[in-house]
Amino acid sequence: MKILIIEDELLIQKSLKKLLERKNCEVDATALGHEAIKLIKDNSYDRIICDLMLQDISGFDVIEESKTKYTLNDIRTKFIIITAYSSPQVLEKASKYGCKVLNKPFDSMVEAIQVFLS
Amino acid sequence: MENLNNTSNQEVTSLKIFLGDLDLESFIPTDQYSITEKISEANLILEKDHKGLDLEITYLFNGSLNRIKSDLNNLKTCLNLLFKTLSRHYLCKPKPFINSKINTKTLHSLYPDGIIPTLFTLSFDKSDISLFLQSLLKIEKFENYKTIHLFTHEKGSSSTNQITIDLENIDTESWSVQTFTTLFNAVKKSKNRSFGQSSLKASNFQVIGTCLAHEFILQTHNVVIIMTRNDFIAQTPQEIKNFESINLPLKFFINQYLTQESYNNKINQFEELADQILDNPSQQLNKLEMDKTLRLSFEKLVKKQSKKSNFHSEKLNLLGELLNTLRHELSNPLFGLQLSTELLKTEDLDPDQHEMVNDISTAIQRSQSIIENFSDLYKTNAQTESIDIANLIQEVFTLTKSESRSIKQEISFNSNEPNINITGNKTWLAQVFFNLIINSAQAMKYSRIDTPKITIKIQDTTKNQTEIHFIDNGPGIRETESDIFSPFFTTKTDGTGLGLNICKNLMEKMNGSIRLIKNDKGAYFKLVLPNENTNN
Repeated sequence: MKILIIEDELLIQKSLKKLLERKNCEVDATALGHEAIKLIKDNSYDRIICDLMLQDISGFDVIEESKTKYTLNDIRTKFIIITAYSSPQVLEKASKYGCKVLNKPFDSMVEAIQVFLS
Repeated sequence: MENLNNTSNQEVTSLKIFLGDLDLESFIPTDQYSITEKISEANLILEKDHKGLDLEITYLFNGSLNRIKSDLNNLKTCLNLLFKTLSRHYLCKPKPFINSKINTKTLHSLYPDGIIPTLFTLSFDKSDISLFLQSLLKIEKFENYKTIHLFTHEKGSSSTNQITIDLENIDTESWSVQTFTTLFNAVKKSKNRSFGQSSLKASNFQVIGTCLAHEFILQTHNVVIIMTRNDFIAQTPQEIKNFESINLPLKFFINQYLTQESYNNKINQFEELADQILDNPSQQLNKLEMDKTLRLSFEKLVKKQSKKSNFHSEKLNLLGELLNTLRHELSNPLFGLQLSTELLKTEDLDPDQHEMVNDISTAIQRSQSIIENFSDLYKTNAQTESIDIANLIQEVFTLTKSESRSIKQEISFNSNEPNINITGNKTWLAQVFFNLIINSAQAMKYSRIDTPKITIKIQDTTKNQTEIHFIDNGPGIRETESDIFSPFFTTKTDGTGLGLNICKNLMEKMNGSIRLIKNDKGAYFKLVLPNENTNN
């Protein structure tokens, strides 16, 4: 399974990468939204784990651009949003794209991994 | 008793009762009461909060105790009648006498001076002046009179007002001071109160028909009141007499309404000014149009308060911002730490390393829960949920660990049920406990109490309420209850003085209460909460 992690907190990014690699996934990781868009354009990922507050642009910008520019299908199944601030606005926007939202910190690591790999 | 006997031997010389210039006989026929001396003076005073009209009666007397007692009983009867009459006439809601019980011992203790200031309080619900005037039109004695005009001139003001009222309509009009003065003098000169209609006709006051009129000079206003029949049938002598008989009460009521009105206006002016100043501190006070005395008192207040309150509100805002930033900045790296420790745990570690990783993991979880709790505390949305009180208190103790670490905690229940659940706002209640615990911990630390202890007793009462008794063994609270709960009251050098005030407000928001209980040792707060709480 090929997975992209978009997360600007390096410790989270690295740890998640390692955890998923142990589950035999091929994992790319980046802290920047623009770089993520490039990666999405050039690769075909099964899952994109996306933080919302990135240094350059928002996670939603990444989703929107992937959808319109690269006519990325299956936004719904591909993108999983991870965020520490799941305000009603965030949840509403996420449900517009049909994306799953996981709160940071995860309630249960096992469940989180299951969501990523399902 | 010995003293009382002494007094009864004294000679009766006089009994004076001061009732201002209120003539009781105009209310009640003399055959319904009898008092040794005619009541000659009364003082009508306004209650401090301007919510009602109070009649304060001061009487000076001399004489045997029996005589005094009988006089006072008569006075009581008389006042009750007066009270009933007033409430019937003016459709006011009566409030029972606050102090109608006459205690002979009290009488005696003040007797040597010959003056006993006993208060009989008559109170009337204050509402709009138009409602009061309409109630006058409903009095049987004046059933032929259909309209009331009230002309008022606030002393020093450049314009005057006219309110015209009948049972359906209220109109207002404004006149020059000169026009008002002409009318005022005409009414004043008219001896039988049915003063010349011609003086009214000449003006544009829209006063139609035969009328009864009276002028009053009040402390802040000059007033003319005119009742008209809307026809030209002459007033009967009885009507004139009736009108005369209500003049004094009229004067009191009108005075009260006008005082209240000008008081309200000043408050409004005051608030407006306060807003302007706070919005634009550079604005010159003297450029604003306002009453001079008001400006002076405001300047004083601004000097005294603004520095302090601005400072505190800034401090509070800053605290909120700081907490938010901390939460934003700390929760992500903490989560990173959590994830990486999870990873480490799965590595092949020797027991020592494993234990260390576990400790790190525990520390991370605690930090996360602190952040979580803090953001819960500052959550703005007001949701009700089921609260396990003991659990919540425990959470708050964890949150205040840095302050409350060395304090012995004892939580007990009055029932066998180990946890009492109520419905309410968890965040608010947590904040209340947070403030109480912090205060208590700091006070005990400051006074170097040897074995600091906080006892919390949770009691489920039969009234569908839960009582929480919060007691510490610290230095106690010397200040008064009203002081400690008022904003910006603090005994700490760096306190905001807002903690307990916030507690009180939050408890009230939850339809509960927080009281300071008198205690010989330590601080004692009693909190009461309804078991079911809807928040609004």
